[in-house]
Amino acid sequence: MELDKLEISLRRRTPWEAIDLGFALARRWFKPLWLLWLSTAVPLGLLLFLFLSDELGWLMLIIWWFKPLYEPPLMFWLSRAVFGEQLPVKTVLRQWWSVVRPQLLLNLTLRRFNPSRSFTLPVALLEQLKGSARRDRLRVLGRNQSAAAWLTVIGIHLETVLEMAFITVVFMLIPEDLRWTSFGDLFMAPGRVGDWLQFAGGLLCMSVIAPFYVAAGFTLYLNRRSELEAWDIEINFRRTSERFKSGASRRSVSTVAAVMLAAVLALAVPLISTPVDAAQQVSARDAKPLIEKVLEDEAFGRYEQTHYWKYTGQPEPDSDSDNWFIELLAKLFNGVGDVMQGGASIGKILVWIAGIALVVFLIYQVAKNSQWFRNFQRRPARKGRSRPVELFGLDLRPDQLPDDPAGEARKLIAEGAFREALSLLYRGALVYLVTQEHIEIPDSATEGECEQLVIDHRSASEADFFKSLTSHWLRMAYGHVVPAEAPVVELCQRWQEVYGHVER
Amino acid sequence: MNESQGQDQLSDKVLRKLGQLEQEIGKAVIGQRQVIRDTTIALLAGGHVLVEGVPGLGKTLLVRSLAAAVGGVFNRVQFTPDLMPSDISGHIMFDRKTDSFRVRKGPVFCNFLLADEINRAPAKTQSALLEVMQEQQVTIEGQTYELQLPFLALATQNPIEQEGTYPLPQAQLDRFLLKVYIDYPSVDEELQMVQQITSGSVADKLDVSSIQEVLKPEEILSLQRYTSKLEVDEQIVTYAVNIVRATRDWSGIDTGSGPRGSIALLRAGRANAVLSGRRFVTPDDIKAVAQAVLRHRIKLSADLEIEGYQPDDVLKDILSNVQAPRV
Repeated sequence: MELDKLEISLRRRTPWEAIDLGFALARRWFKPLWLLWLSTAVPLGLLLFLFLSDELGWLMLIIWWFKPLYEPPLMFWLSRAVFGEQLPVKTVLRQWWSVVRPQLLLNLTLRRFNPSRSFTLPVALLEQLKGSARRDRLRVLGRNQSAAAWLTVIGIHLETVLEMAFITVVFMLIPEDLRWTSFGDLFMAPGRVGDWLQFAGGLLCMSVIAPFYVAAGFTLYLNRRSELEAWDIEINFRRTSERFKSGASRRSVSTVAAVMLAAVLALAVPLISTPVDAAQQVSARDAKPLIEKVLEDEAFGRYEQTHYWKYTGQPEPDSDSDNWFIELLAKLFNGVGDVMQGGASIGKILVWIAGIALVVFLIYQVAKNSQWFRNFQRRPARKGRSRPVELFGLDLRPDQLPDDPAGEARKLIAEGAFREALSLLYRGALVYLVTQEHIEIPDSATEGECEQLVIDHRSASEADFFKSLTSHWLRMAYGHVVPAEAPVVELCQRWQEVYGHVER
Repeated sequence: MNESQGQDQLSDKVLRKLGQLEQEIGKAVIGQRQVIRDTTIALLAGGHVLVEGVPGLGKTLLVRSLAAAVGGVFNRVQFTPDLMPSDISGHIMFDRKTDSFRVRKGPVFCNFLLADEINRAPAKTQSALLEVMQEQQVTIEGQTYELQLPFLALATQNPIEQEGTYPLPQAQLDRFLLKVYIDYPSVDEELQMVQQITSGSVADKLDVSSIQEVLKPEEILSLQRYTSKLEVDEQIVTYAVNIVRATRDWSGIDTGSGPRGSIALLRAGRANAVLSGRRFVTPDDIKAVAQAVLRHRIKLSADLEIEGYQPDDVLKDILSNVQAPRV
């Protein structure tokens, strides 16, 4: 590890500052990181789309679930970039499988809901640790580290807010007259467009947040290692050494400094040259005499006496009666503090319960919507155009018609069911117009408008027949006038001539 | 059954004349077929019409022609800011010859009243006319006088020159069965009109002499009764109500139509069916009259008004979205 090639300035940072550094890196290298994320997610999305185009809910869930698959290339690229080696995206993609493969199954299953995913990823990916070695390493790295989990929580919220903002903006850009649904329904009861909008918004927001999430996790990891293994001290020593070597006028001083540096480095080498090994090989018991030996050196064997002010608390009150109110308050606040301290653990449990409930709710929603979507898809569609299933209460699905509507109508006439017979003939004619001739009949179309459509689009003889059929149907349906048998039988015969060849 | 047969006989006899009525009016009023149709619908439904259009498009001629074709009495009142309610309804005056008070009936006592530029008179005078339209009776000094039926008021409004006018409040607009736009005639119609009016005429006096009386006022009353009893399927009623209810929740409409809109829609739909020679109402009848019935009963939102949308644009949207009846 060539620490002197680090692109970032190492210093002692709080975890929040480390996250901030990660965000700065993500902003600086957003394009390659974003391309790397998309280069994994988009092919997978397309592949899934081939199989699950009808199940948009499942498609979204799977793409979201496979997030750990898209993140290793970003981490790999970052790990090279911070040491000055900015690999081309193509190079990373050539090594894609070797980068993604380590512990992939575990990452996609047991570790999928690990809240510190981006922080623990480098241990498996960069240090190539497995099993107990990985666990020990994570125990050391993760001690008193909660920022990575908060990073995930903030990331989830940001992603959600971004997605909602995206959909809101798209919705607001649609002119009011063209809006087909209310804003609430777009979220809660999405239709096909709503689903696609949520899908597009989700994918876009995931791709935008991912570089920041991975970069912040990586800088948290770097910061922790720097803290544990004193990278910043090592870098400073190296720089000091170079400065001394190059400064000829300060040769005597540099000799002394070099000797000191050499001594310190010699002592520190086991700790910092191979940090992973050092953490594993030097135990606390071995380190203690080593530290004492270093401290016995003259350079450290110096004691200084310093003075400072320290708050030691209020002096004891002379009488209890004067400050009873303050004591009461103090007890009250202490009590509240104790309760809060106890409550924190309860709160933690509640947060977990809420999180699990949220996941269950989301899965339920996806399942529910996908079911709804399936039903929606079952409606017949031809050439990408939806057809009315029902018009004026008449079922227009071809499979709902008998094989021989005219013959069936004749039977109904013989039974005296004129209304049913006329309904069947009229429905059959509409099915023909909608399915075979692709005449678009809106749901609001009245019988008169259907008649006009036939006059406009079909031959004169067919229009004549349809006009006659509509007239009989209207008299029966709205005038409640039972027609004579002969004209209806004639209508059956003409129906056979006009629409008898129709394939259903 | 007998009553039904009676109705059928009445319709057979009178419907032929009804078809002629539109033709007769069309002899004098060139073009404007939709306006003639809407006015006839209002006549059959026993309603009143608010006509909006620029001056000189034949509004007076239309009402005079209607009066001539039906054989009724026609009166015209020009509404002005100083017009008083008694100028319309009438008043009591002292007759020195007989040394007694006598009633002098106003122009409202007629079959066909043209209230020209109704929005130029103050609200008090407008209300007097609208009361007459609603009640079909006039009260003068405590004495009630029935109007001679049929009574059809055709009020006009000018869409331009709005200064100094008193726009009709929504509640009063609601009393008109239909609001009709009268537009400029087409080139052919205007040519025909100019030739017809200028040939042999000294001034630009309205000539209705060519119109024959095809219906008597009593026959109109019979037709009105027949129309009101026309069979309407329950689904048609639901369709009319659905259209009116849609105006209440529609984006872009501040105030939708009230139940009076549904009632008017059905009345006008019935009349349209009669004029189409049918004995039952179809969804097409409702759709055909929906714009004229509802355009003055809805108030568009400020956004749409600023963008120049008309009530008809929104009503078209509503009609193309409300599901047709499911029988």
